[in-house]
Amino acid sequence: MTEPAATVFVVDDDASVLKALGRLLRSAGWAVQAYLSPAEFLAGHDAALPGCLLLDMAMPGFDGLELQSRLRDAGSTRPIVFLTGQADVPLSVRALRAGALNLLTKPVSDETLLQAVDEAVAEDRAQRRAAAEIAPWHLRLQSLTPRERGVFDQVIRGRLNKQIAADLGIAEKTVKVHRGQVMEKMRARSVAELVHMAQRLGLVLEYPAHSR
Amino acid sequence: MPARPLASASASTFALRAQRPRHASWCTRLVQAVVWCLLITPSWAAPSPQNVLVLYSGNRVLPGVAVIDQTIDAVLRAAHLDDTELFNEFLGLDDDANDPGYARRLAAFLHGKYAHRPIAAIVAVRGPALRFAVELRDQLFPGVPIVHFGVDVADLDGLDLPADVVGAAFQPEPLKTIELAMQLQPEARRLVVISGTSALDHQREQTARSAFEPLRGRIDVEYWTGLPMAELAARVRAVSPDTILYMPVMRQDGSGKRFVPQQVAKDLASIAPVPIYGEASNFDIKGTAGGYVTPLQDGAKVGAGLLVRLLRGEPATSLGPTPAVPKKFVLNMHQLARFGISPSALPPDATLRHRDVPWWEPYAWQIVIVALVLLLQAGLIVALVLQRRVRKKAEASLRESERRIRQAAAATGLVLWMHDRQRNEFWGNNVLRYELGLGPNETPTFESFVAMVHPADRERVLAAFDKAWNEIGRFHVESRAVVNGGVSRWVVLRGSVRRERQGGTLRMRGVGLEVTAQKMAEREAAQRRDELTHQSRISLLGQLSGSLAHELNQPLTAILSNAQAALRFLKAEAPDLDELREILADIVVDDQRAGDVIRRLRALFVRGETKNESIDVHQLIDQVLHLLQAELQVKQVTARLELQARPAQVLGDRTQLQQLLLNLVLNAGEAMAGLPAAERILRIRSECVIDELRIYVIDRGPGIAVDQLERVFQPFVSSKNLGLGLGLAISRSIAVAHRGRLWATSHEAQGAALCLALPLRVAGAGGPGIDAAQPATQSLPT
Repeated sequence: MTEPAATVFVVDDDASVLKALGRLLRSAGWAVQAYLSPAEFLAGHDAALPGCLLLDMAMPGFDGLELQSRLRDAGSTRPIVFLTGQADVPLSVRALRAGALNLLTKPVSDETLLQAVDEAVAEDRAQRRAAAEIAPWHLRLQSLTPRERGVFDQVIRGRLNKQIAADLGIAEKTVKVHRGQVMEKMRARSVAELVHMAQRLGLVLEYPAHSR
Repeated sequence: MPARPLASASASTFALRAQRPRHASWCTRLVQAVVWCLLITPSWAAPSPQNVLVLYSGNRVLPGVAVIDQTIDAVLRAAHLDDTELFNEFLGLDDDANDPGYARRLAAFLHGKYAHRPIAAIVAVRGPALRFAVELRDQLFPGVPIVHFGVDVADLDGLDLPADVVGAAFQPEPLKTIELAMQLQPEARRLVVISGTSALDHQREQTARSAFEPLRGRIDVEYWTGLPMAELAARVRAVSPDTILYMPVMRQDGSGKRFVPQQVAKDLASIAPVPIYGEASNFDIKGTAGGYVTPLQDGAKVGAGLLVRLLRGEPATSLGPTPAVPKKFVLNMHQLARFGISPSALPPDATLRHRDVPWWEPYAWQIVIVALVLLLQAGLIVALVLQRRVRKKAEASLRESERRIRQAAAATGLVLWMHDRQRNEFWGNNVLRYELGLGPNETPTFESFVAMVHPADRERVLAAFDKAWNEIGRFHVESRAVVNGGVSRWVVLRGSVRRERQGGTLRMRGVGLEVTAQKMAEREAAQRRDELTHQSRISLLGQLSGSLAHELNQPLTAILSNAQAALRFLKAEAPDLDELREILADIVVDDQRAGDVIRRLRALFVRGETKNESIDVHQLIDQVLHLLQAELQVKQVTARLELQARPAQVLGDRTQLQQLLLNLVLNAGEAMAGLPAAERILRIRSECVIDELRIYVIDRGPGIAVDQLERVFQPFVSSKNLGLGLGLAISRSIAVAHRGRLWATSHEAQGAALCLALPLRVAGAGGPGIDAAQPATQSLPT
């Protein structure tokens, strides 16, 4: 734990559970921010702080799953470890598919909990590092003109200049010019690098068939 | 002599004196005047009281004398001359008529006898007396008028009647008598005239002889004159039926023996084979058969009439000739009937005496009255007999119906009893006697009856009786009875207290029916219901397991985390003891919390005995909501309470009612599963309606179709995918077991309301409670 301290955000409507979880996490050296409801959490937490979210799934009204979806909508990537009282399979699946990192059943042992938190925080760190890496690429992408962006989207899908020209209704020569501009603005040395960047930026969900 | 008042007697004395001027002094005149003034009345206005001398020819009181005396007296009375004094003298002239010295001596005697009694008038009866009076009047009572009657014209021979001698002599007409006799006895061939030897006898015989002259040729006439009585009787007895016997009078027989004519007539008539006709009108019933005569009474009446006129002051000379007394047929019907002569053959104007009246005629009124009384009595007897028969019939039918009731009661084991508390009278039927183990001569008492009731139920039963007595109403109570050696059975006692009739005493009538079998069946049904209810609770547990697990998990989670945190803190070199203390305290709290959850679960799901306790339903609702808190949270249902019932106490079984409410709340929650969370509002309302507590559990779900409102209470009808669909069915059975009701109402698009009505617990009273809550389990027969 030599890296800058991460914070574990805990949300549970049961005060005593919240208090106990906080103690346990603090005993393991974590900084803890505890909230009695998702709404409180949304209002009070600092998204910039590294760390993970330990979230109770069943709460009256505004529950854990809803908080998860709201955070994702807001672009948050903070890893979420769900706590649930019952092994409700459909709910668990929903949570995991929505990106939950882990799902723990109450009562939970310290080892399991702390390990999950460790993993989540590590995930957060990794994500934050990656986010820091691709941050300049975002700026570069934003510098592309709309025409250049259109050519970019075609190129990363492995399309040939001729195909792109036909699609966009412009001359092949013009395509080559835009392509050169794209490669320069993105500071990509090869199409492969450009595709990699696009993947990291989340613009390509699947690799083209021929690229596998 | 008629009795007279004393005053009249003394007055007549004064009057008597007043009529003698020679001896009258001035003072007697004065006294007389005063008495007159004092004693004047209408009757006194008539001529002053006078003495009348009645002279009879004979020497003794014959029946005719009495008739004459009474007749004269009656006439005088009718004329308001009833103070007239009659002096009767029997001259005995019939026998000594030939001795002229006798008459003179007699006259002298009478003169002396009546010297102090002035005689106003003389009445002479029959010829001899008249002759005596007329011939010797001047010596006796000179100038005193004479009235006569009963005088035969033959007596007047050689007698010169002065003008002041009045009366009507009569002429016997024996021929008419005989002519009638011949009509009555058409077969008669012979007429026998019986006559004696006295002067009168002779006289009458002579009259007859001359009268019968015309009969010569028509009938043989014989004269039996002067026969000795014995011979006469023998002859009379022997006469043939074709004989007419005629005997005008008979005073002396041939032997000189004197007779009373009526007696002779009776004697002869009794032996004669035919009627004996005669001249007397006052014949005895057993005497002569009568004839054409002057009735004695008629003559006496005429004479008395003349006497009245004389006494009233009319001069005898001005009275004028006296009309003859009319003669008539006077007939002895008894005698005629003896010889078969019917009344129809008699002259229509005949006076019929001694008619053979039916024996009953004199008693006609008495007989009618007696008959009426008998009739009434008979009617009464008939009525009584009928009444008795009707009563017997009624009694018989009453006995029959009583017998039937007895038999029916015996056959069904029905105990009947009647109790009059005021008179301390108790009656019980044979079934009761049998149950009490009484002999035929022992009487059940109320105490022995009550002793039969199980001690645990006795107070309740007596309370029910007392209530019926106080309210003059009905009672219906179930209890156990201990009979014949401790075997306990369930009985229903019911009946009423009523007043026998207006103002009568109060009486309790009751029946007792054994319901052990029914009770057992009820108990079994209650057990089944309990089991089912319990099963349903178990299934409810399954339904709630998720939320309950959550609820239990929370404290467990907290405990575990706290404990592990504490362990980690302890690994530090200088553990923060305050922190550790706080952790341990939290663990304790959470542990208690977990324990609470478990306790609540047990309360709901542990199978226990059905109890009957007083329950505050509001409190129960709070508990149920608490129990369901987690479940409702998960389902995101908000509960709102509108508990307005005051009070909200009912009697019943806490667990079952909790289960009922749990069901209702869970159902309501499920009904709203399809709504947005914000609209999932559950309302629980309570109110009191008269003696009922009503709980409404209202949801905002889609509601229940009208045709499904009742169906939802049927078992295995469920809208849910999970569960048996027993929830509402069980709930209703619980409500009914608490003598309550459970029903559903629904408003379109406004959800459904389930309504539970339970009888409110009345303070101080036992109340109905739950059925199965009856004292159970002990001493039932196996």
